[in-house]
Amino acid sequence: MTRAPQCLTVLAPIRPDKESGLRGVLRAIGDDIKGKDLAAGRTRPHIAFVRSRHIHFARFAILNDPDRGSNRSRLLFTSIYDGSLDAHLDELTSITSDMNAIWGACEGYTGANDFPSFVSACAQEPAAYYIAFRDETVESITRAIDARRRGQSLQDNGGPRVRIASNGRRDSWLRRAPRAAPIVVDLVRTVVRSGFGHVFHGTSQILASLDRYPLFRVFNWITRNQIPPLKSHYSSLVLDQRAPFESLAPGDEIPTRPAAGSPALREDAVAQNQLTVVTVIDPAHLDRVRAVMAAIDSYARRLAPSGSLIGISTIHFARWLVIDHGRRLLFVSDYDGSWESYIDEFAEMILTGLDAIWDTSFGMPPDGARDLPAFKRFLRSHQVPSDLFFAAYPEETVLNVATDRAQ
Amino acid sequence: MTSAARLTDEALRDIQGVITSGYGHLPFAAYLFVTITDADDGRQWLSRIADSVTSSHRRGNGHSAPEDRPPAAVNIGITASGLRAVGLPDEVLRTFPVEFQDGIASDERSRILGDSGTSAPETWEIGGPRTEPAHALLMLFAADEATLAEMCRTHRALLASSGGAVELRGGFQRGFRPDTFAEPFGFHDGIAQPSIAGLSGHGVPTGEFILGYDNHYGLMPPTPVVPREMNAAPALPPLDSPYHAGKQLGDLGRNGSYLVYRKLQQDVAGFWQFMAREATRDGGADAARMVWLASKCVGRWPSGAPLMLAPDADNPGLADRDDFFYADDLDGLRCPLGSHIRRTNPRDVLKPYPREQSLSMTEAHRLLRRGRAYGAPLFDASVLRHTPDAELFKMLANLQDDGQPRGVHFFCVNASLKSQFEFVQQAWCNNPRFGGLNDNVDPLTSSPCPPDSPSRMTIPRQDGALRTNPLPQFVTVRAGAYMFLPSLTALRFLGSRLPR
Repeated sequence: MTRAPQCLTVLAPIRPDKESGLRGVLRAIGDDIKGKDLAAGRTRPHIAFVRSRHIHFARFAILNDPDRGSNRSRLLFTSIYDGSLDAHLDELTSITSDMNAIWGACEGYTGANDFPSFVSACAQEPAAYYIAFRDETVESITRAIDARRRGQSLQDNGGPRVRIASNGRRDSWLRRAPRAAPIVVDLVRTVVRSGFGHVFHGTSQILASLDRYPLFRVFNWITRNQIPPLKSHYSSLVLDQRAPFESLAPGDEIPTRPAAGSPALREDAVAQNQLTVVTVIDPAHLDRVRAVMAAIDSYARRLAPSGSLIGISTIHFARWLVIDHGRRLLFVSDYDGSWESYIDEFAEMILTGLDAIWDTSFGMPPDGARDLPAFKRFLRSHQVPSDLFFAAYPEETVLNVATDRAQ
Repeated sequence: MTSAARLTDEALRDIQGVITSGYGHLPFAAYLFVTITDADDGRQWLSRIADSVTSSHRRGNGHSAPEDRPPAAVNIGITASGLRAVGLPDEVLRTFPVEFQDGIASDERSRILGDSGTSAPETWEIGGPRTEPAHALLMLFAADEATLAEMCRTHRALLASSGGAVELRGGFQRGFRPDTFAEPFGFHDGIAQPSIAGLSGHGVPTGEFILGYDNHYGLMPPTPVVPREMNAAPALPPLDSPYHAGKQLGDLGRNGSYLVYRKLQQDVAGFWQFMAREATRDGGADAARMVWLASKCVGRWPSGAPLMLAPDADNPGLADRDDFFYADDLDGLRCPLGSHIRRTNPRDVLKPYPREQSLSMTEAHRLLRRGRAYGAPLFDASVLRHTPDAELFKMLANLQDDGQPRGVHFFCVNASLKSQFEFVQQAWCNNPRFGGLNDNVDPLTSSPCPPDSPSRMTIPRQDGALRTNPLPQFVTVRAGAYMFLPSLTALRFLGSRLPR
């Protein structure tokens, strides 16, 4: 069986005064992500993602680093790759024309030769990690796309018709059982680490909006678990729709609004888009956050069927990381469609799950995600724009991949 | 979450009639765009027309007897620049949704709506950056031409006497509801309209269309407000929100809504020539084949009969039917996933979501359509409803553009421009990957596609999908506006308020 795609997340402090230079370098690469202008900009630092064979997604973003100081910032690099970490770092090094122009801006980087040890020193492990298709590689997905395109192009030029595949294929329970089994171990471990109360409450909160699954409906019925009623029929949204985002807690990373039209933001522009959100965890609730993350991680790794996270079928990869010694929660997602439709789908499919994830962070509306306009503003205000976003098969939705798999 | 509380009589007297009624009994419409050059004059004009603006009172519950319906109707929408022009201060304007403040012609909105190329606002007749600003729109509806002409005269005289509110040059538009109910391509239009729960006791929650009521999420939609010191007589109702308690804000939005206007010019000859070419290419150079192809693009037959209920041939007996679902047609064998009606109202199958969630997400993104056709039809649409024969093929295949503009004045009412109109346009209509498709945008309303990624209509069939040649652009946006539809109370407030 193919090894599932891995995720790498690196958070490295940027040397003082190196931020704007680094941002310039990253944006220039982001503008030329397919390497079309490579010849023209030979002297300019470049990452030839177009030559990569094992990277599904990659992004660079610059985050504030308030724990180090109000003027400090740090580089977030996060990628999804096939194969081993060593091979991934080798590939990354080989396609980067000037490693020093990017990584040299970070503290602790001593050169390309020491890149693996630098990465392992500042790599962060996800607390929860979801993969739409555990057995698909960049190679297998692009091969399926090519096959489909060939078939369609043949047909468009008078060849035989392409059979329409139904995209409703489900893995059988029998095949999923071996993957699901270790969930018992997960549960025991999580209860030991986070305490039964947090695991129970966090899980109940998620399950409250999952009555559509018979098993969870029974659980909700027995425990009288339900979506809490709204505290108010009014939205807690601010009155001034142009009000700047405000910091809601000490150390809250409110990013400045990205320059409009920044191509690297690439949001709502093509089939695939990206979201990076950093929120500040209320220290009193850190155990709850860890318990909820463990539950999501366990579900995503052991139970989630192909192409669907609790019914949400627009996510290619998503990961949550508890960073800064439990102070902040980082959410990174590669998804399909517009930002609005993505959040709407989350709210439709797993409304109280959003509360479970974020109501332990400062700034969540009193009615949580049920107050959707205020929740969207909460997310927007904590969203960090990427300076560089690469997607290997940017025009392919999760549903497209599922359809190709069924062919 | 459906809140079925009926709208009170008092509320109905406050809500503009165009929100609750399409005025089907008033087939003749005129649209007068107004530019306000002086804030005082503009306010005076608003206060003078306030008494003639038609409310929802006489519409009753939708089953009203003909004598209870308004014999004619006047409604008004105001753009963000119009509110600025009558002197509404910035601090109040900033409480309106950003997309309304920006206006439909802003870069960000054009990107979301796909208004580029020949549909770009720079080319518009009304509402674009190169035309005089459209501040307000008077919508006049009448049962006959003579009454409409008289109404136009009255309102032009009122404008003339106001001084600082003038009719936008070249902005006068006529609309009509044809006897055949056909839009210019020849298809019966305007069948699927959501019913408002507060009027009919069932249907879509009132707050999806009217501010001040619970919406799909059980929440009141965000509403624009005025500070206490500005809320003098005639006063706005107070905002009771616990999140702003003690501020004594006036609720400017209650009983109001938002209106989208898009003048959509249709290339009728181009549409049918394309169908003729495609029918011929697919081995069936006949009218039945053409009508079949066009109907697959629409999702209904020319009579209006839905493909879901009449899969093989048109059936005028089913013309008004809207009681159907897609559960039996997951692969689009009857009604293609890419068809117009499956995108604008996905009902119970919003791939890949289960039935309940599909219905729920659909409900959160509905629009009340209030459009009218314009321009003389290129051909008599009723011929499409007869049995297609060689005569019809010859006629359709040989349709030539006569240089006369025609299309629809698309109007829709929604409580949130962003999560209703813009969402449907961006996430469903203009999405080439809607429902797992690869390269198929809405064949009717789509925006111009880049040449390197054309859109092809994909028609699933038992023996494999039929893919058309790249779809030409049949529809061009010629004008547009985002407007606030104030309640009558809010209109009187806007008409009387003195600058601080």
